[in-house]
Amino acid sequence: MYISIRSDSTPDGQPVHPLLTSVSMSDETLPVDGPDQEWIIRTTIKESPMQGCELLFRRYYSPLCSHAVRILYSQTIAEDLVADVFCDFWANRLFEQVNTSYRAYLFRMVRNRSINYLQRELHKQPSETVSENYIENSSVHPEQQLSVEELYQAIEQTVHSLPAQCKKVFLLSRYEGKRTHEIAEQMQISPRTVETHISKGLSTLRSNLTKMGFISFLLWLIS
Amino acid sequence: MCLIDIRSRTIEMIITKEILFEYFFGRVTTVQKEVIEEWKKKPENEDFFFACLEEWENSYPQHRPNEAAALERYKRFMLEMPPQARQPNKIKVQPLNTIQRKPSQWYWMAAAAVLLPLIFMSLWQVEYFYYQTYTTQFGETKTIILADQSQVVLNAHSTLKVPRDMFAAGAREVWLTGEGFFNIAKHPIHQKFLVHTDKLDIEVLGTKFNVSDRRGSARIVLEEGKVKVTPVAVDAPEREEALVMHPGESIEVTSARRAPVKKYVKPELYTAWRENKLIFEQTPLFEVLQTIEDYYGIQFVVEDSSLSKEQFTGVLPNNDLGVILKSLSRTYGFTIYREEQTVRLQ
Repeated sequence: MYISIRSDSTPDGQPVHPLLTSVSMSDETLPVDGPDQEWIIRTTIKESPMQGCELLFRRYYSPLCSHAVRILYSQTIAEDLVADVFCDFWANRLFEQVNTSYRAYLFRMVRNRSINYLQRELHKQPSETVSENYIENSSVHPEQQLSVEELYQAIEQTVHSLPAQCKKVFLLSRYEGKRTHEIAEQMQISPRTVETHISKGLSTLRSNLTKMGFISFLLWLIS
Repeated sequence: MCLIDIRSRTIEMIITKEILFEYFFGRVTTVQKEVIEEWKKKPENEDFFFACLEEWENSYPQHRPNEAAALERYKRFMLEMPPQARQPNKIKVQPLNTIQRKPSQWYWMAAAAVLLPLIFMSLWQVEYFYYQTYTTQFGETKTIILADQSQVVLNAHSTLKVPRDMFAAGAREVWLTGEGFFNIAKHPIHQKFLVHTDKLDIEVLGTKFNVSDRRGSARIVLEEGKVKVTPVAVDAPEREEALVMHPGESIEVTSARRAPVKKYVKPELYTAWRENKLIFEQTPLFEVLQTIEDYYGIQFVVEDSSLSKEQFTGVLPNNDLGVILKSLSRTYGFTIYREEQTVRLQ
């Protein structure tokens, strides 16, 4: 039995972040996956790359989006990023160069691009809490590399630790991509307060990840 | 399944899907985490790791995207963008979310070919619509009364660009090339008056001053009032510091030395051109000749190099080039040969 954090859906079918809903219990048994099942895709790609790519898309698009959301914390950015990966995969003939499983290849690509995106995004805004000393002191140790798992868990924890109101605004804005005035209307607060909450959420995220060495370690990070 | 040596401690641990799921949830112990992270670095374990990750994401999704719509877009993308010829890792592809807006790159090329001339035309139109431009020919001066009753005397071979609706923009602003004398009217609401030149920006609060912007250098001489001058930085993006000027001062910026130079001068030497006089006080002859060149659009050729060291003090009448040349030749004893726009001094 596992405690699963499930992404429940609202009545209109829109996915909602689990933190906005309650944690539910699940006793699903885990299906046992056999060895690599990609040979069908592999042979299809040889005969018709377009059909093969479509098969890959059908199989991996959803789990890849779900995975990217954990890092990017935004549904729309994650979906666009994964779609871009598939587009490059097709247009640059990357499917001819894959020498691991397609699954591993696509997951690695999505993870790397998500991390790059987040790093660029967090670096863009000046941070008030990053201490230069910290970065210097935390000398980079290959063993100390932050794994992608640690990264998205840290992000989840950080979002969890935000004050309730701030967390809700941050999730509605960042995670669900709602506009400032929509959130203001929905929560009966001023747009300015909404913006303050969003920027507080982002700066907390940035300072926490910097403390963990994410931003400075990032260049060393290999998925 | 896995035997790993971590810091001389041998830990035996079987990496199963279940333990990896716990790892994805972040519910493993530090030691377990270390073992898994060592284990997953090995290439042979990669497939199993990502297979479990995929299953985990399918079982406990953080997000369920609208797959059908995304697949439709992807299929359309594949039809419209055939794979590039083999040039791995070189080509950047249009991201998917932009192709909806761009039917094809050909349309863009065609549209650009048609639209660009139109845009340039309309920019010119807009320029014409928004600005009134005053120009003087060689040997000509013009007095312009602006909408706010400020007076500008435009020296020869100069241009002044004035917004047609001067007061709409909030500040009074004009653009000058060449030389002009400004007598700025005080205005109760629109306090600021800005004169832009290539090298200097001048901010005024009701005053009289002369600006020249010729041959790559700019000079402002203040006769009355107070102005703030900001050199326009050429290579540095940020503006240089503003200088405040008082009457009788001049600020000069040349192309050779960009730092502004402040001097005390007699303003009347610099503004006498308005009364059709040119006044010089120990001015190097070559500067005198340059001033005349700028005014009349002629070219001096000095064949006696000793002449260039001479200085000139005096008043020249500035409404007849013939008179000027005659008085110069009498002063220095050179002979003048005039061929069209070239004047030879021997």
